[in-house]
Amino acid sequence: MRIELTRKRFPGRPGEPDRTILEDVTLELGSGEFVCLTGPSGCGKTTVLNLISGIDRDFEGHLEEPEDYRLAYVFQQPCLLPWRTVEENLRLVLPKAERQHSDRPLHYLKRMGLADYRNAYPGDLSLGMARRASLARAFSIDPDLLLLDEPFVSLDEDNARLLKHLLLELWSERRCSVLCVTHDLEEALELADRILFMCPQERGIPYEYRPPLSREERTPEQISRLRQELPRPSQPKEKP
Amino acid sequence: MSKLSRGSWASLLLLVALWQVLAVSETVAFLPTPGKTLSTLIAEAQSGELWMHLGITLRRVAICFAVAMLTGTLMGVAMGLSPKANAVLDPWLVVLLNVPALVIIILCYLSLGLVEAAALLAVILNKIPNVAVILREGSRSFDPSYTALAVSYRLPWGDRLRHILLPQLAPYLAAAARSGLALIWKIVLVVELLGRSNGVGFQLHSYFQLFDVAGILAYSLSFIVVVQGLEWSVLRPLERHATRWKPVPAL
Repeated sequence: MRIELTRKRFPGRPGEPDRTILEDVTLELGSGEFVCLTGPSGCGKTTVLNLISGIDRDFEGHLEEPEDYRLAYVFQQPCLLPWRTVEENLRLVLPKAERQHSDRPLHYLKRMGLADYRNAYPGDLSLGMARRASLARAFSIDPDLLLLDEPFVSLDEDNARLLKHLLLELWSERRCSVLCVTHDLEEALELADRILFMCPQERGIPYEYRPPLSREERTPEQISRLRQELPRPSQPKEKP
Repeated sequence: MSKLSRGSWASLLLLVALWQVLAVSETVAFLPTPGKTLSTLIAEAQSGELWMHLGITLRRVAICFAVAMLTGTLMGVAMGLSPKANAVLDPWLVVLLNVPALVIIILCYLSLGLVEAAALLAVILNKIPNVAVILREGSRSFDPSYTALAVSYRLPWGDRLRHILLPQLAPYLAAAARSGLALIWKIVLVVELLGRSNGVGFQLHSYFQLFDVAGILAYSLSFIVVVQGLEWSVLRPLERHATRWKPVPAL
C-alpha cells in the first residue's frame, strides 16, 4: 500500500485562496505492519485516512492499492447507526454473501465483552462500549487494512487501556496492516512498529521512528524514556 | 396511544355540549343539533350512500397521496443533494408553491376536461411542492459521518438507501405524510365539488344547495372519524416503529 500525494487543497472561504494541506507527501505501508501517524493538529492526519479510504477522492496524486483488499475504518466518533441494533450494525458492513451467517460479528462482540448488548441500540451504550463495538465492526469484515482515527480520544484511562489491549490482541491474531492516527506520542510509542511524524510545512517522506523495544518491553517507564530520547519532531533529522 | 386520555374525553364532551347549546339557542343560523346530525349520518350509512361516496373520495385521496409523496420525495431529495438539481427545479417549486390551489384546479379542468385524471392531477400538483420542500430540508441534514461510513466500508447503493438514507429521512417523511393527508383530503373535496359527480365533496355541494346543514355535518363527521382512524391505525404505529431505537419515545 503506497500513497503519493502531489497536492491536497481545501477550498477557502469565499474571497480567500484555497488552503493547501498536503504537498508531495509519500507514505508506504507494509503488509501486517502497525504504523502510527502523528503530528500537530491541522497537519492533515485525518485527511490522509480519508484519502486512503476513498471518502475524499479530490486530490492530486496516486494511490497504489493491493487488489481486492478489505478496508475497515474506525472513526474518531464510534459512528454506529443509532437506528440499528449493535449486531445489525456489525452485520451491515459485511459483504452480502456473509451478512446473514457469518459468525465473526458475534465472535468479536464476545471478545469485546459486548455479547449481552448485541440486541441493544447504540444509544444505550456508553462511549467506551460504543468504541469497542466500532472496533468489533472493523474486525468483523476480516480487514486487510485497518484505519484508526484517534481511537482512544476522550476515553477515561481504564477504558483507553482496555481498548488498546483489545486492539493489540486482535491485531496480533489477524495481522492486518494498521494505520493509526494519534496526536498522543506515548500512545504511538506503545502501539506502533513504526511511527511517522507529519509536519505542516514539510514535504517528502515523513520522518519515521521505530521503537527499539518489543511490545512486551514497552512499560510506561520505558515509554517515557523513549520519549525523552526521541529527537524533537519539530526538528526532524536530515533525511538520507 | 390509541386511547384518549380523560382530559381529551372531557374536552370532546365540552365541544359537543357547546354545539348543542349553539344549535338549540339558534345563535348560529341553520345549525342542527348533534342528535339530528347523528341521525342523518345513520340514515345515510343505512342507505349505502355514505359508504359509496366515502369510498370514492378515499380512493382519490389514496392515489393522490401515493403519487405526490413519491414524486415529491424524489424531487426533494434530488434538490437537497445536488445544487445543480436545486438550481433547475427551484423556480418550478416556487411557482407551484405560490399558485393558489384553486387556480391549479381550474387550469387542470380547463385543459383536460371534467375528467377523473384532471381531478387527480390537480390534487397531486397541489401537494408535490409541499412534500418536496420538507424532504429537501431532510436530505440537507444528512449526517456526513454516516456517508463516510458507507463509502469506506463500500456499502452497495441499496443498503445505503435502506439503512442510512431512509432512516435519516423518516421524521421528514412522517411530517410530510401527516401534513399531506390533511391537505390532500381538503383539496380532494374542492376538486369533487367543482368537477366530479360523486364523492364526499359532491355530496357536500348537493346539501349546500338544499341548505341541509345536517347532511353537511354528517359527512364531515364521518370524514373526521376516518382520518383520525388512519392516524391511529397506520401513521402512529409506523412512526413508533421508525423511532423504536430512540432512548425516549418521541410520541
